Amino acid sequence: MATLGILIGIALTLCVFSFLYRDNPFYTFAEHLFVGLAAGYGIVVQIKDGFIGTIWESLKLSIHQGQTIETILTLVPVLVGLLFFTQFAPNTSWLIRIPFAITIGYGAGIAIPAAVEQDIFKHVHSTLRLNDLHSNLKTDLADSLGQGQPTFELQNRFRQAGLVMTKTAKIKTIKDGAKWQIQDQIQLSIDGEPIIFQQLDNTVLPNLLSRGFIDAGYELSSSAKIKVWKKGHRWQVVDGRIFDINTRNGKLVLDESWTYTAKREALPKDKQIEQINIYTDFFHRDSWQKFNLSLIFVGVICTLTYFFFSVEHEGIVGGISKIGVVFIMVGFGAAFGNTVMGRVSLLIGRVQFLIKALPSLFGG
Amino acid sequence: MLQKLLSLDRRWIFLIIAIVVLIPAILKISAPVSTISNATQQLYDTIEKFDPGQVIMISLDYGPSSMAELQPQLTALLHHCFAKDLKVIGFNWLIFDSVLLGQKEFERVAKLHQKTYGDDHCYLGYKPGGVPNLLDMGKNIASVYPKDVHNTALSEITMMKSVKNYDDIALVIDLASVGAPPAWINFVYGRFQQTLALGVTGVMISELYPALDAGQIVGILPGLLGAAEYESLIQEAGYSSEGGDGATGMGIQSFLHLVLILIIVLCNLAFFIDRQKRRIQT
Repeated sequence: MATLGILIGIALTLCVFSFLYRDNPFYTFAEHLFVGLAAGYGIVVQIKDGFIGTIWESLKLSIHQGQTIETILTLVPVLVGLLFFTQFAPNTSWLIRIPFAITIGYGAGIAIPAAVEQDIFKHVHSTLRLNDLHSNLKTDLADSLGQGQPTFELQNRFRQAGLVMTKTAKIKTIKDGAKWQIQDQIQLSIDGEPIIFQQLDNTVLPNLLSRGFIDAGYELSSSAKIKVWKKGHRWQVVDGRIFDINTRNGKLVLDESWTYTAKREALPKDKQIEQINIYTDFFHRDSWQKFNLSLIFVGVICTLTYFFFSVEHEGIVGGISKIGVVFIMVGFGAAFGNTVMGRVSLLIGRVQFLIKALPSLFGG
Repeated sequence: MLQKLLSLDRRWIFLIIAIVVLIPAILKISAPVSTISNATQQLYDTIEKFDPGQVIMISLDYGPSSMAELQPQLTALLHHCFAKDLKVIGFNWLIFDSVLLGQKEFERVAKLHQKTYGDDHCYLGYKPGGVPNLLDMGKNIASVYPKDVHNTALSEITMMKSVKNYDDIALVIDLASVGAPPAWINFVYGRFQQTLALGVTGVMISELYPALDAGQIVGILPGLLGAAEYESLIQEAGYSSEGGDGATGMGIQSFLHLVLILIIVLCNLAFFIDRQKRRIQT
């Protein structure tokens, strides 16, 4: 059976490649076979995993257990979905607006805020940022910690900077020291009552949460603000202080002229995990990093100017947009190069398959 | 000669490419990986820092048409995870025809590392639903996948007993040949602050570097090159002695790129010389 599979694979691969010479019945056969198989397999999977797996079994279970609400909650979306088919009858075709309205409304509702936040704000921020996670200091710290430097020294550094943790807190470097993870075995409580997941919703005010941290042994500055990230799951302590981690001894050598801001993030679990991201100041980075960031900044501005059509592209604006064209061409060039590499990889994959498969037919 | 070059039948180029691909493929010439890109190194470092027992989730958002680029990435990542005693969950939320691709490779690599199904790895399979499924898994994975690909209830799978939602997942790696990464970034990173990494095809890589720069992902494997780099990293660390398809593939790529550059240079030269001649004639 396996041999038959390999034979079919080889034959179809050769049929498809025959198109490179000219269009021919072998290629057409392979093409039609692929489309038919893909559609057939897709329908079977959608019925098995979609209809039977998601709807039928859940309906059966809820009916069997006499759960009326669950049954209704499964049936209503199914009925709304079935309204898509009303377009085939002219008298009822207007009903299709209902599932369309729900689908588009739901889709837009979840997609637009996420896209604006992640695609626009995040990327604009990373283009314009004066602070950066990547810095030279990380190597020094990671090296010293890697050599067995006790983590309490680093803890002392944070403490000196005003970020006080509990005695049990352990600091661990992650990702080349660009981030430190502080692991602590504290249990947060408010007025003696432990904070649990379910309590962490909008009813728990941030100042109460702040008191919970203080009670647990964390010292927060007056400027520290606690923000609940998402309902009941995690929160973030944002502290506006500037950290200046000074040089003290040979191992933990940091460039003392650099300044750092810290962002604290914690997960409300039994085992507290707090992550501190250290951001380095733009003006204290090496020349290569400064050049790179400046280049990206200039590139974005020039490219956006090229696509800004409310002003005539003359004079300074024309000059900037011409520079934008250069950046666009470089971008397209990189994309094209990667595309060629990707397409060639597919060819290589098939050739590797043929080379591995052919000997196996003869017992190799 | 010049005219012949300018009006060269493209099928000759196809033939040249076929020969250039076949010879190194038959001779199994692999190119040494001299430098590791930052994007690959960052992903490797992230996994390297995890403690044994932590859970990695790998989403396979590619079909057989892209397996040449992404399957070697999956193999290399699995070798790394299993060698580090990490637990791995595989699933396909978007592409239904990749279930077998992932499931078979999970079983094969797990066997090489003596890992058992249910304790060290599990495969959830495909579930229709799209983005809402990604969001629901942030609350409860079992609500989207009540059963794994073998029809076993998640509650009966040992490693899944301690995994409820993304909070219990140390890293999600999305291996994608289609538009899945924006969904992971916008919805899973954006909403749940889940640590994310990507492995994508060469076609997609340029548009995803900004996400790495913005800190939305911790690393990214660029196509076959990423696979070759990752194979080199894990072999150097002694996590796998299995020669991967990535390194062999990049060996062929290197020869092919040389030939393509030569063809481009030759054709451009012919074009410019021909244009110059025409100008002189007129």
